[in-house]
Amino acid sequence: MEGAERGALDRSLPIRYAQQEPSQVPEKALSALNTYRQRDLTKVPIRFKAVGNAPIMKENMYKITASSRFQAVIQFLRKQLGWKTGTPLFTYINLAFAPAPDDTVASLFKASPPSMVVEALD
Amino acid sequence: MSTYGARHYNSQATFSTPASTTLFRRLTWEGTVPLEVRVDSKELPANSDRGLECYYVQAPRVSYLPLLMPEIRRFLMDVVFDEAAAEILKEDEWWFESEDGIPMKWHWSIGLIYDNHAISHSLRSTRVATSGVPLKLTLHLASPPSDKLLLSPSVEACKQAFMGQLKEADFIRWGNTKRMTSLRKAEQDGIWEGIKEHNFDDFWRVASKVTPTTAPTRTQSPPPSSASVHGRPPSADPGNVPDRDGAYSVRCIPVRVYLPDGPVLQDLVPPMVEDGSPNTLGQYLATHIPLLFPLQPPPPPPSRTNPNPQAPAVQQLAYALIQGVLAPPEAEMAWLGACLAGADGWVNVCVGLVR
Repeated sequence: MEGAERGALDRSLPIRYAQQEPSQVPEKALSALNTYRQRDLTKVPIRFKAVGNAPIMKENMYKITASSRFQAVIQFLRKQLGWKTGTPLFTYINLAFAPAPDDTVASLFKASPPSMVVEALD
Repeated sequence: MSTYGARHYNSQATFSTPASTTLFRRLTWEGTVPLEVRVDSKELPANSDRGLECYYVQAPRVSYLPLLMPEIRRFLMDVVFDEAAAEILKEDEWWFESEDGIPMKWHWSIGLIYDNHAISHSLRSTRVATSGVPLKLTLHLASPPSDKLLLSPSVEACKQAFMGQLKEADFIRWGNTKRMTSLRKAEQDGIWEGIKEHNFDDFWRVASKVTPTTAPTRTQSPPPSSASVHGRPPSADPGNVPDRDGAYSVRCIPVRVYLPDGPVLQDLVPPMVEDGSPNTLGQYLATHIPLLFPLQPPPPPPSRTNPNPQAPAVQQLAYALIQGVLAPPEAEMAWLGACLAGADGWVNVCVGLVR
């Protein structure tokens, strides 16, 4: 099969790592990895804006932990709006795109400086 | 393959996509990974034909798990389950789990799932990671952990997530989503149909309108000076896409870095660095995750005793996989964005640790 052969070629490169005797990952690499796993606890300002028939919020500026997932923002917003589970709520960043639920707030904030606006559309 | 002739014609007719770019896009598109799907033996309905509950598939990297469901279902219904079981099983409760017990996300491309599993699994396994082994997935027939899967398993939800990613990529590149929003409804649907049907030409017919391309090769349009190898095709050439649409003119390249067992890092990745040279994968990784990709120190100045000094060796801690391929540090980020991005426009860099 042509595809299978090509696939095998594609993956031939990592073999220089794979063919070594089984050994441990160096401690230095593991501690580096753990450094990048630490949660970013800084707070990111987020402004919510209602679009369409979404209810207007009394308070619309919030600070949310940078390492939170966007999923957490959606859940927070649903709670604030008293939105029932199952009722659709569409959320956008700067009216441009709907983020993936596992995007982090930090990533979205970097992508849309200086301030991130989350629009909610019912 | 019948499409080869058509592709040859296309690449000559459209100067905007050089043949080399089309080649790498096709290699990315044709990439496949082996999957082994096994129904959780504890959940097999009564009267199932045990011993056959395993399905093997060589799946396209650019595809998604919900798109595999129909063929997996057909296999199970034909071979494994009896009619009574087939009637009570609800496909919208099915979900996949890796052998490490991690639920597989519906909105991650299959290639990303495979590479991310490979780098994560290599941390735990005492066994040597061998290339080309099937990714073992357990298919559960009930109780999906929706807080971890984040989306419903429907093809429609997957499509919405995919379109969202395309738009986010567009936003990262240009600071707006004009290119995506100016696509007609039929084109937006067509780009997803291209994924669903795994049709390269259908997909790229639309995707080329939103994905920046590399500059035409020098033989087609010689640049005025050696300084402009990247970008700036002469504007007098009517066949060229204007420079402002080129891969090296974007604001940033949509890139995500996956570390073993998480997290996923996302930073602004400009195509050029301050000195005006192209941003490379090596520079990008050394800037954002320097502890895993320490900067190579320069060689000491030559002396009489050592006229050709070598740079001191730095222990290599990690490596970068893009589309399952070990990516060289000198790969330019803009080029990666134009040629090796996934179908959703994102360059996924999976970082593994060297043993």
